[in-house]
Amino acid sequence: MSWTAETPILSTSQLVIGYRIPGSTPLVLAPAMNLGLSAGEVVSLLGPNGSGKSTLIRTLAGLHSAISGIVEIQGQVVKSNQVLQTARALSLVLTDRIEVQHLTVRQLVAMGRYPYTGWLGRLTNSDKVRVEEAMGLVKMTLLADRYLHDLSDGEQQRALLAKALAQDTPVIILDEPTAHLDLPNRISLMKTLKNLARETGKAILFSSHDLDLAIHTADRLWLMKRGESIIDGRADQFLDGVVLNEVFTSGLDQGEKRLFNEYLGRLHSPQPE
Amino acid sequence: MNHLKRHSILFISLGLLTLAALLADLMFGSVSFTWEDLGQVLSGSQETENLAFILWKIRLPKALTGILVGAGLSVSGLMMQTLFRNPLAGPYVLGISSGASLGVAILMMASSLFTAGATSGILLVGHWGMVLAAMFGALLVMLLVILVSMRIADSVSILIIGIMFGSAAGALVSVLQYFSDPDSVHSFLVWTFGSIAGVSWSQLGILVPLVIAGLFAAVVLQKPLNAFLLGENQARALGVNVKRIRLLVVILTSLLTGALTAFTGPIAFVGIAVPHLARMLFRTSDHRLIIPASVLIGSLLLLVCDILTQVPTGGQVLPINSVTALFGAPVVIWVIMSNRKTRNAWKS
Repeated sequence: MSWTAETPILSTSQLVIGYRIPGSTPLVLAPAMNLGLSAGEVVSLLGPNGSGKSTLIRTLAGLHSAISGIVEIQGQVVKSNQVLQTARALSLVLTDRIEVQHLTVRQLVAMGRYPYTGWLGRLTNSDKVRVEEAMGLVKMTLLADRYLHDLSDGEQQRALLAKALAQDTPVIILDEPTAHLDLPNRISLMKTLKNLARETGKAILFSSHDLDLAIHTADRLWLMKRGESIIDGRADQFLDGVVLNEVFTSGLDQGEKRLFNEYLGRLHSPQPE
Repeated sequence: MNHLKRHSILFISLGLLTLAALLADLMFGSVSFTWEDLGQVLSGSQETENLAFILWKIRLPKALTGILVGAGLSVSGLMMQTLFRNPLAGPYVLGISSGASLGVAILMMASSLFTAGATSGILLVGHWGMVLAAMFGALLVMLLVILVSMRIADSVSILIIGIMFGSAAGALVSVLQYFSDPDSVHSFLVWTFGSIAGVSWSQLGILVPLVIAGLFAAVVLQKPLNAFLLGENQARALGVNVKRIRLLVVILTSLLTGALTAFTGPIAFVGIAVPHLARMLFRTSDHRLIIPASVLIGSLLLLVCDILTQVPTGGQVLPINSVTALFGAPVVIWVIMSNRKTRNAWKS
């Protein structure tokens, strides 16, 4: 195993994502990527609709096969037929709403222990400790016995994050975690992600459409544009808006571009801490 | 620990109720037993030879079949609801009972061609013939569904294709009925009413191990089934081999439903209604509790329904399918009315 503390926890080499079409050339969403996620780092994945954010996330998580290239987590190659091994290395928070009756927050978070429990799914004492810790980290302890369907969207998202934490993986990936949330909940979730990365040393990747929040939360940005190579850089390098403009406004008319630039203009204003 | 207490009380009372229903089902019928009769039969007295025959050869196999049907169909329905994340899925959504009906219909209509019209087909082919025909029909649809689910990636498509197979088989049955003589149509209709009576001990020798093996397999699958509650993507992200589990569940449900339907005819509503009752009583979706709960509630329900079929006196017995449906329909309506989340689930 060549993995050491300095190299990224998650890395891709020559990863090409897209869709295989039987009897035809594959639909490539982005050319070969060499990306890395390091411990304690928050990276935000941005890009217009259809640029391939979800496909990249699903490929990194082993839910979707890459066209070519590999994804490695701590030196182990992610394979789509090795789901259990992947589940111990990477946890995923998805946008799908959960429609289960009579499922409490604690039961949901306990499902994060799935990759570690036996065939009965019985929790050991150390599993239970992990579950309580995970709920504590996202301030869900008081809501632990509430049913999931009685929670607000913001609380549900935190419960799902707690499940990912209970899964005890070095990498957490979130697919548009702020999609259904109002502004205060978005801000609080972003702050939670940043604190988690600092405190637990996990590598966190999240996709988002909130350019301003993402820039001010993430350490780095990955910008995707359909068919082009991914742009990878420190978040503060994008504050001037030049690159964002290039990535996001290609399909817009003049009026729309002006609106977009006004929106970007706000990014320069100092953020109250 | 509040939950633990509630669940223990529920399990104990359900168990006692099922035992009571079993006893009542054994004692009531066209010839009702008194406690004395029962005592004499059990002690092997010579005077009660006829009663002993009724008890051992008719009532007990019937009650046992009821328990197997109730438990097997309820657990099949539960697994289908979890797999398809659809509260209205049941053991029959994969079209397996329609396949069984088609098998029986073909057998009856075909055999009527060789009789003089005075005797109906059922007399010629006998009970085993129907069982084999139903099994063959169920197996055919089952193999098609399994073949499809090995190739197709998402569950909703499997659900729709299963329903399509069912419709196609149902349409074939209608065509057959249209061109058949009234006698064979009648005996086919009698089969579709469903009956847990008339399953012999030798047939139970096949059914009992099959259903027990099926229920055991369901218990073994409870951990991935719980993960499926969160949706297929979440389940996979937790380390579930979604494709394999889905295939196993489809095979398991097909076997249980196919075998039970072959012996008893299609029995409606149990598979849809019982898992909902179990979840509501136990206030959880955890399969570790809901599988045994469905087994108990399903057995209890079938035994009670069988007692209710005896209500009309004078040798007449109601068809069990009507009783389960009369009970099942209000339950399904109640579930939909009382459960806002059920309606939301349709949107996702």
